[in-house]
Amino acid sequence: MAKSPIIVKIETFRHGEYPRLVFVKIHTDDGLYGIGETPGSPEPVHAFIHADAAEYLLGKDASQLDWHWSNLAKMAGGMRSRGAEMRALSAIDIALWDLFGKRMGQPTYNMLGGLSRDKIKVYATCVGYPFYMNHSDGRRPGSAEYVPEGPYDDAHTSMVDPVGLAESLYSDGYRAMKIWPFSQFAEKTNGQFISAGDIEKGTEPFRLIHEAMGDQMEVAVEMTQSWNLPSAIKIAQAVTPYKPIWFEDAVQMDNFDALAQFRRATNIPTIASEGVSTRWSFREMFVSQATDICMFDLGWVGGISEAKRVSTMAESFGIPIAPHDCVGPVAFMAGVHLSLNAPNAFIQEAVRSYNASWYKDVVTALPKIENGFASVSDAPGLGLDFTDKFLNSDQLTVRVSEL
Amino acid sequence: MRITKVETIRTSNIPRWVWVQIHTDSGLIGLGESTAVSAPTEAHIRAEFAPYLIGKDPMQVAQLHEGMQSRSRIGPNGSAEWRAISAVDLALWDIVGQATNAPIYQALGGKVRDSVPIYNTCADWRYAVRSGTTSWGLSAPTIHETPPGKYDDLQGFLNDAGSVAESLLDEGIKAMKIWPFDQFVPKTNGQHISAEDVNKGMEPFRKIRERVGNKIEVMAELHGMWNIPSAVKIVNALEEVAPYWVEDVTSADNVEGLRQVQERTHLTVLGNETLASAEAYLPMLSSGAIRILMFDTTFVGGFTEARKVMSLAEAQKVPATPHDCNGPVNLFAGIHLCMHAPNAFIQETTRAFIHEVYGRVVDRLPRIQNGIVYAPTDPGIGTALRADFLADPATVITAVEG
Repeated sequence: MAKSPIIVKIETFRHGEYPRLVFVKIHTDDGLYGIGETPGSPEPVHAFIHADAAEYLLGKDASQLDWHWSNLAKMAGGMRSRGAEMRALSAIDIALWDLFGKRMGQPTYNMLGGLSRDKIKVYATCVGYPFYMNHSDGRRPGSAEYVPEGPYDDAHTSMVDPVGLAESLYSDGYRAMKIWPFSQFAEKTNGQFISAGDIEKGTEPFRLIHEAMGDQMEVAVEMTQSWNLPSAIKIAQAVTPYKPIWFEDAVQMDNFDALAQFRRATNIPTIASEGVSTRWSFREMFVSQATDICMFDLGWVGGISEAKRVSTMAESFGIPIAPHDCVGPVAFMAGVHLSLNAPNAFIQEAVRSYNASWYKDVVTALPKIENGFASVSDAPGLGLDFTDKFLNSDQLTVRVSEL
Repeated sequence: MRITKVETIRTSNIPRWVWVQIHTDSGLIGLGESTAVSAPTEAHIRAEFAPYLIGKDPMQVAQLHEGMQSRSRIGPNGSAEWRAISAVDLALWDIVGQATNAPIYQALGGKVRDSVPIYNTCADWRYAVRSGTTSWGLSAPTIHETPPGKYDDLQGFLNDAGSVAESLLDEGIKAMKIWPFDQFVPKTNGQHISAEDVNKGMEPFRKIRERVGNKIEVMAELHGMWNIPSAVKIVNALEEVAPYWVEDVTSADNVEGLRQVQERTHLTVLGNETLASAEAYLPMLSSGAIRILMFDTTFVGGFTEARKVMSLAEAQKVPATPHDCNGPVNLFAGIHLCMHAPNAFIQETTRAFIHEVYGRVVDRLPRIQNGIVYAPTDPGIGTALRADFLADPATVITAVEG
């Protein structure tokens, strides 16, 4: 038997410019390391990794991915968390897969079972540059006084010039895009009611793009879990004439019966959801016939391991997958590896503005996006590392747990 | 009234506990609590909730509960975020009760009863230190080599269950909960239980019946660690001793699996205190997977979410019972809900915790006599952290102020 690589050190990185991400680096005693990442409320993730997960992982065999997953997933009093603990586990799992590939000298897609395709279609999610659009001065994209911060300030453009945005994406090779014009109205009533006027305003970009470009640009409707069931159905009915790709996160992801009711009310595909973690939650969703397409985020669902398991389970229900990214470069890279591997993948989310800007500041390699398709190199593991710029930044906070 | 300060409080003696104290400009202080792994819970309260809560009116619990949910990327099911919401929600309700001079059951709409029976969960106090990992206190050695104390009910039920039953009956407690099958889980990670181990696991139950007959109710706890065929085997064996319920027969992740076990036994299956939010309980209730519902106020989302869960269960004709093998605020919270909710019928207690740990932390304990717990009468939750506990060097208080 091969010598077991022992986990000797777990580092986390936090960066002032990307405050909602936690990056992880796991080292083994053979001198290798793997990297991972997770989004969302970072403090509890950070606390769990160092206070609880490190105590379990340090000294353990890094190749026991499934066993570590199973134990870490129920550390919280038997609770199989869908929150901070699961995000922490996702980052750890991604790092262990990266390590595994490096140790074996194979790209992650091969470790998962090899290619089903050498490139995957991408669609562009139309956000702007600042991370999660967190403008410190409170300026809102789409408002009159807003000044675009570069050529790909796509959230702003989606509101002021949707056709111009679609054309710009088209000329960059994209044939599909995603926008969420209704979400701006949800705040008024906490998603409990949408007026006819707001429905008309929210539908406008879909109408304009469809009239200008027809089938040359497909548009996905992101509803950001913002609406109650009747409002979501009203929105779906209004956008349906413009043949959107799908309706995403139409209602909150805590009641799959409600989502199934939504799905039955429309012939456009329902997709859900990056907000759902673990095979058990997705199983309930699939059994409830609540979705046509399965979306997950590698940094939240439970890492590459769980994403692969969910993908395979989805396949058994005849459900295709479409991995999420509007989050960070490591999980995006992991998502593309899985999209290239999974027989039932058909599209991968990509963020044009992020790929053109801060993703490059954080990592040394990104998936290559060309003519609307993404591919990766055959470098071992995920094939990327943190840049020197990132590691040497004075905005970086490093915490280490080691043997 | 405005919130001026949010404190999180931990003690190195029992790291799985976290308390939150919410201070107001009126001088009132609300107390909340959660357990399980508490470093992420505490971190979430400090980073995401404290800045949001400071300056807000603590009386608007409904709004603040919504606000906390929107500041947590969560679906249903337990997580650090839901435990954080739970702790803060309890503290907010404590302020509401104190400000209106009403015990929580009164603030919720009043009582349907003045007292409720308790049962004893047969842990020793060391179990509070680190339960909930793999075999729930049964895998030696325990982290603390501290003596188990007077109420060594854990070793008690394993070795001499008849005597534990007698000692409980002497105190007037007429129901007890034990988990002797847990000791066999590590052998196969719950994937298989041998006939021999089933038989060994039955011994404590048989001893209880031999010694005191049916004078005491016995609850069997399986902690959700067995796969379905093993759970069915255990449940079928337990039919011989007629436990009042069988708890967490298999993982709560698999509601369909729970239902399959329930369908294959005439015993009552109960579940599951690890869930959070009313939505998480819906599938379990609507599918008939459980006949009694258990929740934990410090996991589920505080009073705000617990009352929803109890009402959902009531509408489904399912009785509900609060968990407590956790902490003193959780126990008080459960008692208030037992007084208020029509479908409550029994409150879990752990006498080793109450007598050997809770009293060192809080200034008042619930009134329990002859196996009955009585409605608290003080406004709010009805207990507070002791001054000497707050001053203890092992106690770490971290404050976020406006």
